[in-house]
Amino acid sequence: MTLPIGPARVRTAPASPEPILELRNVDFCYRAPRRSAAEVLGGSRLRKINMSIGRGKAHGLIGESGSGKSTIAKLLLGLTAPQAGQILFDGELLTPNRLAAFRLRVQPVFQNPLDALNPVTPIGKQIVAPLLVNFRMRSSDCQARLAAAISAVGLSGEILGKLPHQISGGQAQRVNIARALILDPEVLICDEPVSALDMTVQAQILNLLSDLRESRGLSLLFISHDIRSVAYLCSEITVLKRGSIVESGSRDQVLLDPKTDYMKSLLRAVPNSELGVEMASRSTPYSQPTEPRHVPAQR
Amino acid sequence: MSTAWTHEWTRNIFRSSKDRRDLRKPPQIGLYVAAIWIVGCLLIAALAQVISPYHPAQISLDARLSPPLFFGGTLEHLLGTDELGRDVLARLIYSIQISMLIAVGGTFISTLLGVSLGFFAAELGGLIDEGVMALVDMQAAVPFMMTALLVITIFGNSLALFVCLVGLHGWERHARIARGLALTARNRLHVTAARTYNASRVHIYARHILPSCAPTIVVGMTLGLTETVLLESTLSFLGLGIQPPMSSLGNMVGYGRDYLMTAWWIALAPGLVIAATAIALMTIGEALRHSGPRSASYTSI
Amino acid sequence: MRRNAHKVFASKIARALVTLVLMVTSVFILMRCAGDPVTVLLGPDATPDMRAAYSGELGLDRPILAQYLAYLHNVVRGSLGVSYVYRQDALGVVLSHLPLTLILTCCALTLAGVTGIAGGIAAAVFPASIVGRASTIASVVGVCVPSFFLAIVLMLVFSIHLNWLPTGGAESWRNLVLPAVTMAAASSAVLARYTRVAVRESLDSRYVLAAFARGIPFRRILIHHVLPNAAAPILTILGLLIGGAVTGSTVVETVFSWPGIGNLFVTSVGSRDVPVVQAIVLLAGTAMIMTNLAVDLGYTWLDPRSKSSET
Repeated sequence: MTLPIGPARVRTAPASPEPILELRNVDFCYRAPRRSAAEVLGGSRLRKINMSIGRGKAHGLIGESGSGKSTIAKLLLGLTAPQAGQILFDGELLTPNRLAAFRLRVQPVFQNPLDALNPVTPIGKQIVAPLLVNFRMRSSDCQARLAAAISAVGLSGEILGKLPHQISGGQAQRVNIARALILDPEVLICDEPVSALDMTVQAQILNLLSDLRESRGLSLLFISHDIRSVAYLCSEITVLKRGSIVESGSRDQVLLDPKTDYMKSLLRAVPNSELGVEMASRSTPYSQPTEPRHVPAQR
Repeated sequence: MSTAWTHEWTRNIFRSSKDRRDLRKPPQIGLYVAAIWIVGCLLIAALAQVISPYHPAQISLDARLSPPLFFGGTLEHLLGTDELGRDVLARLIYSIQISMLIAVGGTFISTLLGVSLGFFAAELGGLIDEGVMALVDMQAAVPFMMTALLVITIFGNSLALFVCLVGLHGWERHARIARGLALTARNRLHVTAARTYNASRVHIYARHILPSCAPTIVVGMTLGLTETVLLESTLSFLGLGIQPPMSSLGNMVGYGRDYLMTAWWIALAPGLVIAATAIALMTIGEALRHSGPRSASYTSI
Repeated sequence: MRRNAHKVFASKIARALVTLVLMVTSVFILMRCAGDPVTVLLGPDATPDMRAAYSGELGLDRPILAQYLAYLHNVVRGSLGVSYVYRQDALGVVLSHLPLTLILTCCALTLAGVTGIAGGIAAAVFPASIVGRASTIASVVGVCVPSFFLAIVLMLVFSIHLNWLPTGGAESWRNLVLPAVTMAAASSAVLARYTRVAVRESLDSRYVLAAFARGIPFRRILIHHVLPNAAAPILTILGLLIGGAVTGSTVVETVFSWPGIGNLFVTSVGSRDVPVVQAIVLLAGTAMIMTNLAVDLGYTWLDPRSKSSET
């Protein structure tokens, strides 16, 4: 395994049209025994999922609770294996023996930032843990990368000695992103990364993700039930309903010209003023740095 | 009659939750006394060779069966002497040392065994889980005294074997608790997150799952220690535990039983020490349990 | 519903049988670990004829699995070897000691049941009163004071100082008092603790609050709402105590020279009389597993909720 030393690579965005991460005809169903309550509520059967995430693109995944969004995230993180179908990463089939290398390049950001941190370990140690685990580096060697990672997510150094219960939710989510970034991944799987945060913090995190995608050429899978944040961040959108994809396409196609009643009803449920304003100004490219900062409205 | 009940009970049920928590808590002073007693016992155990006034086997035939200080005894033998003129206090101090050694060693072994088996069962699942749980069920179904006595009959007795035997006691409860906690903890988000950066199972268990189980395991250890003290002293009392040149507290009571008519203090002194130690450990365990995480896993005393 | 209950019954019985077989198996393994089974079972001074006959019966020349099956067969037939000390069939020796233990256990458990449950209820219902506090403290002390020490203290007070009761033997009812009280003390303390917790939990629940709000008299709430719901854990502990009676009586019988199974157990362990010890372990283990099973089935019968559960 090569040691990723030095500044984060800046990948030249859409170099090849070939998608970086692809699901082909994936079927998945939770097995009956040892099914925890969370899985019963949150998980469902996935049927014939076909989806691809373009290199350097931000791909949104929308769906109501229980539609299988988080299950797709689990599949894409290699936390569980599909019963049928294939997951391709960078054109190669994802197999158990490629999982370790795959995980260095695909990192998650979870919904509940404080739960995703070990409550008894200082923040600094948690951020460098991926390096220590994967490359057997001494912790003194990680300092440069640690500093780079926390400055990339806009945190100051004093947070490193704190424990998770001493920081706020927004800071915790930044810590999670820093921990994901320290491995210098190519894809971030964001499973509802802002749902547990309050409104102003949501906007900050969305902007952070957007900036990171720009500056590092990251590909994002952004999973959310909130159409507005998906509309803000993503150029491609997939809509999931009860384990099947009902609509997929570019942002404008899906949002302005929905084909299914389901998507229409979803759009109607959003306070339309907000979305309408944004749609009206769609002539500007999606996430140019010059675009005025979006602050999601009160729900 | 009925109104008095109702009154009392109404007060109980409508008392604010804070009051009720206070009620559940044992009085603080008792906790301090218990802690001091346990620390004192550990100190005595550590320093037995230094603080003991006599050698425990030193025989002085002139001072046979001398009673304790306030019962007509002398300052030379604070707790009196036994049949052979050995100082009871000195023997008590050395017995505390042996008893503490066995209790701590045994509890350590049983916790280690139980927690690791519980983690294995939780992590590997399947047949291993079933096997461990079957062992746990069996151990819980058959009273441990019986297993212990069977093993002693077949294999004889030695200090090392005895410590291991005492260490087998109670592992099943630790295993059950550890398995339950690990099954919950391994589904926590930070463990999932660790999995996504290639953390090994050893890393996950050492850094994530063990720390989250530790408070409950410590409470279990305290309660286990109480039981170990009682088990060891009972076996030794029956003459099946620690064998004569060495003596433990239970052993001393067993020896003193033969002189109950003439020299009650030989049996009473170590017996009181055992009872006090067990009560102190129980008090501390209860206090820890109520201050720490609430867990429904302690279904046996 | 009915069929489901039968299924639950069947699975519980099957589990008990598995535990039983596991227990016999571990005894077998322990005995084989100790060395030559003929010497272990017949003692060092057996005649060569006996040795040859017994090793034929055990089938020591056959593979270990066949030996294991032969052992199982012997256990089922009740042929557990010949006691070194009594020169009789081990099981017969044990069974001849059984009645005295049963008498002692019945007295002790009746006493423990009455005092323990009453004390536990008192401690739960009136936690602040003198009775409640005394009961709580007594239950902690009772669990922590080892029964051999309690036995010695009682003996010291009632037999030696006051000279009211004999110190040992089994001649009349007077001999029974001290052992029964000693044995009851520990069981009663355990029972009181669990009763207190169970009743307390039941008292704190919403349905009791609701019953109270409806103006139902307290005594009726206690009898109709609280106690039925607290019964299950109390039943479990009672079952454990009954099943563990042989072990529980070991110490007490030894101290008071009560010639029951517990006493036989300790002397046999002392003289390393393996067949007798083995017989006692198998017998007591079986008793324990059977009581657990009975308690389990009792639950299923009594508690309407557990009938629908699969476990």
